[in-house]
Formats: sequence, C-alpha cells, structure tokens
Amino acid sequence: MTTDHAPLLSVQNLTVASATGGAPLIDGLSLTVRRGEVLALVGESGSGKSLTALSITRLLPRGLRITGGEIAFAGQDVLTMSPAALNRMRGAGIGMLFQQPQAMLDPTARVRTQVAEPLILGKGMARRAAFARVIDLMRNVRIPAPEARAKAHAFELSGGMAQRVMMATALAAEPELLIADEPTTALDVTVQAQILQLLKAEQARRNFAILLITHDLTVVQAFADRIAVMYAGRIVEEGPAAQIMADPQHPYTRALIRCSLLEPEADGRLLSIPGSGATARDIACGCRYAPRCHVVQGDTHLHHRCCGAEPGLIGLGTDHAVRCHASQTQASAA
Amino acid sequence: MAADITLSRQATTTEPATPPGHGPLRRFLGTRHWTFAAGSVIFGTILAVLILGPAIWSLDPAKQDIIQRLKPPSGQYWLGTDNLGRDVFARLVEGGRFTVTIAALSVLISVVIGVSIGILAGRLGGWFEEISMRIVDLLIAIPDTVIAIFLVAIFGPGHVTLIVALTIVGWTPYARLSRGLALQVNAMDYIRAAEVLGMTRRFILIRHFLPNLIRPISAVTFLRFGHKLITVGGLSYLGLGVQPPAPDWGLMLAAAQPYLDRAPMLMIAPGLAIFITALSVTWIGHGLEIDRTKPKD
Repeated sequence: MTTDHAPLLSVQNLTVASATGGAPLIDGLSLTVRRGEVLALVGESGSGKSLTALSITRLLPRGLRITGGEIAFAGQDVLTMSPAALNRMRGAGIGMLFQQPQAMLDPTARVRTQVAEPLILGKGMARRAAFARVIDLMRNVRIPAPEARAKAHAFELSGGMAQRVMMATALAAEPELLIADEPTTALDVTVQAQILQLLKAEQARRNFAILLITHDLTVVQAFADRIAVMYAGRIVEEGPAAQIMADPQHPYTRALIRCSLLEPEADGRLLSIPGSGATARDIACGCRYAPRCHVVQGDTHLHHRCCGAEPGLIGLGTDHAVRCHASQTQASAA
Repeated sequence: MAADITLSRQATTTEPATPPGHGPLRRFLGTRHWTFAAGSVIFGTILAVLILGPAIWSLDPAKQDIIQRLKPPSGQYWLGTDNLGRDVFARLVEGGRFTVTIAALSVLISVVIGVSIGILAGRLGGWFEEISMRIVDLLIAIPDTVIAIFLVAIFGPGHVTLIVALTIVGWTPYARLSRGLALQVNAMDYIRAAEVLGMTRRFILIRHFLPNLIRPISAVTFLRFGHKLITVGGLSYLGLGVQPPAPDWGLMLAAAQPYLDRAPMLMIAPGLAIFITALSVTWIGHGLEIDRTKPKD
C-alpha cells in the first residue's frame, strides 16, 4: 500500500529534553510517514515512543521541551505554528488513540457530546446535525445499538467499547494521520484483534496514514508497511516491515522478534533480553544497546568498538537502515 | 461477542436503584445520604418560612406594644415579645432574611471569585499561579473579624461592608481547593484527548474542567455556608454588621443579653435559629461529600 508521494509527516533530528537540563530523552530522531501508509514505531517502555507522538502534536507535558530538530506535517512547520493553526492541525490533520481508552473519556459528559466536539467546534456543524452524524460514526466503528450507547457515560462502557468511541471521535474530523499510541495494550486479547481489524478496515476505506506506536510485534507484522525500531531515544533500525521481520539486522530487533510469540525458542520458552530497557538518560558511551547486546558479549574486538563510539544510522540498500557496528561490518565484508 | 458484553453492561447500568416511595422528590432524596435528605428538608422549610412567612402571617417586626413587653410565648406571640414589646417570631423571620441573604451572597461571590482564580491557577500555572496562591497564603492568615473591624472603621457598619469583609478572605479556600482539583483534572487523560482533538483552551475549561469540579466544590460550599452563617451572626452580635432597628439574628442575641433571666426565649430563639440553619446547611454539604467519595458499584 506504500505510495511514493511527498511525506505527510516528516520529523528531522528531533531532540526532546527536560526543561531542567540533563541528557535528552529523544536524541536526534528522524522519521517520515507517507500518505496512506502504516509506520510502526516499536520499542520498550521508556524508549521515547510516546514522547515522539506528543512532540508531533506539540502536546508534551509541562517540564519537557523540544530542543532541536524539525517537524513538518503536510508541508507546514509544526514547531512555528500559531496556536490556532495547531488546534486545526490537531483536530482535522492528526487524530490520536491512546492506551487507556476509558480514561480518555470525560466522566461527566455523555458519549455523544464528546464524539460531537470535533464536529461542532472543528467543522462548525449544528448540534443536532452533529449528534445525528455521531450515530453514523459510532455505527462505522461497529458499536452495537449506537443510539443507546451515544447517551451513555464513559463508566458504562467496556474498554473495547471505549476504544471504539475514541476511534469514532478521532476519525470524526477525518484526519490524514492517525497516531495510535498502544491502542490495544489495555484491552483483552480477543478485543485487541477486533480493534485492530477495525482500524485496518477504516484505514483501507479512507486511506489515512497511521503512526502505530507499540511494543507488540505480532501487531506490527499484521499491520505495518514500515517499521522503525527505537531504543533509548534513538532509532536503531528502520525499513519495510516484511524485510525487517524476515531479516532483522540490528541485534535488538532480532532479540525483540525472538521475545515475541512469533518466534519461540527451540524448547518453547520465550527469550528475554538481559538487563532492563535503557532510557536515553542512562547512556554511558558508545552504542546504547551494547550493555545488553548478545553479539557484543562474546567478542572482545567488537566490545571495544561498540562501547567506544556510537554507530551512525547507515543505509543497507533502499529504505532500510541500521545503527549497528556489527551488522555494518558484515554488510561491508559481504 | 462484543454485543454480548455490551448488552449485559447495559442491563446493569441503565437500571437506576429505585428507592422506596414514589414521586420525584422522594427519589431525589432517597438515593442520597440521610444527612443530605434531612439537611435539605430542614433548610428548605426554613427558606420557605423566611420567604413566604411575612406574606402568610402578615407579621410586623417593628410594631411596638410596650405593655406586652418581655412576654413568654403565647397564642398571639408565638415566641414571646422583646424589651420593646415587639413580636420575636416576626423579628426572627425578618432577621433571618438578612442573615441568610448576607451569608449566601458572601459565599456566592467568594465561590465565583475563588473558583475562577483557582482553575486558572491550576490550568495556566506559571506566574499567575505563583502570585495568586501567594495572595491566598497571605489572606488566609487574617481572620475575617479583623477585616470586618477594619472596614467598619473606614466605611461604617452595614450589610454591604459585611459582605465585602466576608468576601475579601472568603474566596481564598475556594481558590486553593479548585487549584488543587484543577491540577488533578489537568492530569487526566480526557483533557489530553480534548487537546489532541484541537479543542480551544476556553472550551476545555468550560466543558471539561467546570463539570468535573462542580461536585466537590458544591459540597465544600455548603459546609462553608453553615460556617458563614455563624460568622455573620457573630459579627452582627459585635455590632459590626446589620444595624438596628433592622433585625438580625446576631443583633437579636446581643439585644437579648440584659434580659436573659426574665425572658430566656429572647436569646434561645435567635440562637436556635442560627444553630439549626447552620446545621442543616452543613448536613447538606456533608451528605454531598459522602455521596461524592462513596465508591460507585
């Protein structure tokens, strides 16, 4: 489904740091999302995935700020946008789904009031017309008995139902890009599959782009056109989904795939990566993954190199890039 | 499968717990904590008497009947007469209109000012929060009696002075409370969701902050309203509020003092009036607070 137009979203050298100083939490991150494609941003907790998403909509929490780089959405510079233009972009340009759908709904308002907000405020629809449209939107995301559901409050909905409502809200203003930040993590496995199918169906119908943020590679394989793997605030591997899943180049990507249900170990157990996920703050020197990397462990020569200097993001052919001394050495040797 | 889940949900949630009894009023009171029900009934009755009383019984609080002075309660004078032979019940009703109105107005103005400043402080942060909260710290240390004495010295006694005196300090607890609540609400995901949808700041404040703050603030408002009633009575008692001949519960207490041994009802009546009114309002606030913090089933 990949299309070769100008990118819809382009992030260049994004750096996010705490206002009080210290090491940046996102360090020189670049990514592009083309119109109509699904880019999966994969990584452990704390790697900076969600911060990337919040940076794109300029909604970083208090105390964090973008200290460098460029973000362009549909040709417009997001970092210099006026507040009014930002609000327009957030509603009509970029929609978002989050991890805890029930918490995303205001407990004091009815469902239809919230789904109608972008219609009334963003599109200037009349209240009555907006409420009628809400029923359609809710039917589109397969909410049974939408008329009754529309009058319900958030606490009367199940997690899956709430995520459908959020989807209806996010799609109400017909955005060109949907940022889905772990949209199924908090849901039951069966409901996860329903939500993902629905997301895919809606995407196929309306052809918007999706930036899917997840740590779940089973989701990625079924869903994404391209993958960007993040570790400790940096992208370590990026490329077409099929290629990365079939032939991962970075040891971290390989380990992530072996950690998932897609590729259990010979004895049926799942691999776990030693150590815990580093955030961009606990970087000593060299490659950020080196302390946990199984390739580095047995090789003194590599150990010296990987802990000495951080590798650059080097292209391995069209559209595939990796940030690793070991695989770059192999590639040049071959 | 999804349909099954939602159907069973619907069955449990759309059925409200029907309390025993019929009628909307019964249902309104029956689902709430008993202190709320009792408080609203008592306070409602008091309000009805204060509002409708003069018209129903054609009472004249100023009419003097010097021969009938300091009489105990009787068929003609339900609560007896005072030192000038005036009907204590009539004066109680007339005085209550002053006391309750002054307390209510000062609370209302305090809530509006305090909540606006508090929400803005919590939502905007920065220098506005810093300055407004330091002003709160400063004012909260000053008792309203001191401010009342100060203002009376400048402007002279009267109900406007009284309301101003009560409001100057009165808004601070609401500001502090709503700032805290606003910080809480601001951390909620549904505020992020609204921001993500491109809603304007003002829209989010009105549509998402206010509704989520109203319940806790209304509980505290009623609790403090009871407290304000006592303060109004106390300040009038000290001669800092309503001036004679206008009756006021605090003023009536002060005037009754010399006759405590001959006509105790003269003091008991306004004292009980303040006590019962303050208690009923406090009960309403208490009931609201309990209902708010009670876990939902």
